[in-house]
Amino acid sequence: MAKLAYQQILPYLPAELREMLRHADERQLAQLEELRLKPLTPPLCRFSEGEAFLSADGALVKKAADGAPLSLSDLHKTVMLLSDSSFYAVEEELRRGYITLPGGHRAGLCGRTVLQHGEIKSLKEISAVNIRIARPVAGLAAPLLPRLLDQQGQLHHTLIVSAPRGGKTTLLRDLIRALSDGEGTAPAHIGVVDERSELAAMRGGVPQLPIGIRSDVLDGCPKAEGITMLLRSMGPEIIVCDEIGREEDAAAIMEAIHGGVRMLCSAHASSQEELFSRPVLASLLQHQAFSRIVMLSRRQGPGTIEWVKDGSLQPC
Amino acid sequence: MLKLCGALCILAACVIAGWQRAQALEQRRRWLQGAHQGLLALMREIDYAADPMPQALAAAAELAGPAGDLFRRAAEYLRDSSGCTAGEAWLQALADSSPLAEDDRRLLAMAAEGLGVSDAANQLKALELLRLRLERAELDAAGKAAQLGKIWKALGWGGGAVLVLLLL
Repeated sequence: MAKLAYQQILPYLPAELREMLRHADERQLAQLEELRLKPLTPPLCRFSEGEAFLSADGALVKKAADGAPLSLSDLHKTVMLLSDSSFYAVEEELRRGYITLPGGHRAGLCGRTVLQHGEIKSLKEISAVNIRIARPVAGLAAPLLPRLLDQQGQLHHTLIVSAPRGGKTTLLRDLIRALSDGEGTAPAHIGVVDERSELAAMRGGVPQLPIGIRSDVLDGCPKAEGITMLLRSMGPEIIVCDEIGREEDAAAIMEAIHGGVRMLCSAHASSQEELFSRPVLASLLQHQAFSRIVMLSRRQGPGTIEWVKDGSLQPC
Repeated sequence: MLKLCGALCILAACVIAGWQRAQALEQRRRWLQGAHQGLLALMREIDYAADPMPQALAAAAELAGPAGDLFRRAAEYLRDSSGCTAGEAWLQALADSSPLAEDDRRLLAMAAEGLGVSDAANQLKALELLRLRLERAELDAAGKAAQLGKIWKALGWGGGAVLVLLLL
């Protein structure tokens, strides 16, 4: 029987917590999106709808007082297991604040930052772990894709927008897969600048999530530099960036657009007003850098398409 | 004739007993030398390759000679046991290792405490401290193997000869 997504993270949890999850309701855990761990508080499970604490016997309870608090040593052990007992080998990931796990799951970490020359060197005294379960949804992009193609069947410069946990990364990933594999369109060579390692979840040079056979990934690379590197080196037809928002991103995007490459990007905002309140994004929209803007929400679950608009912000 | 055979048997037994004691000292020296080399290899793996601990331990095992089993088993425990940390795997492998002197076991158990739990610079500091202690233990073992080894061998011959003379 195929493993449920949450079962792939069990080897990275201390024995006691693993047992608690083994006794929990499997149907509920199949919907698990995040497992949040903090010392002296019970593990918190976040689902697409609501959240619950874990009790000692594996029951999912509403009140924190009914849950089983996680000991500090168990939290430390979790961090050890997440790093494969090799903190030194994940220094770069610790600097960025997360560790990517097989299967594309991701453990976000909080703790005390170690600074060197004013820059974050690493994290220590880890105080919170948030394991986000990756769940690629094949076919998610299919209904949307025709609306993002022009008359020649080429992708419009597209911006996907949603609030955090709105499903934009999942949709973006499936769009990459569909465009790369030529599902519903001609196959295209895609360059992915995966600054936060969320799209492809590269581990040891291998993408942990499906991104199609014609996709090249620049992992952990700042977006502006990544776009320039891909343009120079890989000859992509489409460049994909997740969560744009800095000035240098906008400059690189404009360069790429004027260089004949299609851009597929995402950004944080929960409404058109919020989108325009972000100076860099507002500037890009005013210059009509994107000819398709897709707004997502969680209204009917993550990835609900609220509207699709063209460059002049007219519904299309 | 029978007496001569008996005398030769007694002498041979004493010589072998003395030789075995000397060999045990030599084996301890070689084992500690192997552990020292393995530790150096582990430090190189951490410093240059930054390979995860299971791979780093397995690579170190190749250069650890007679102590290779300790590194290999630790790597296997770490790879195969769900929810096992590097420190736990190291201690488990140490417990499975062929009989070691209690002092040596205690010394090597020190590695378990910080194995894999810090960045490369701190890992190397902790392992360097252990390496220095291991080097001292190795020198001590070499000294004992050279001096006591000779004494045990001589005692084997001498003790055998005395016993034969007493019994004749």
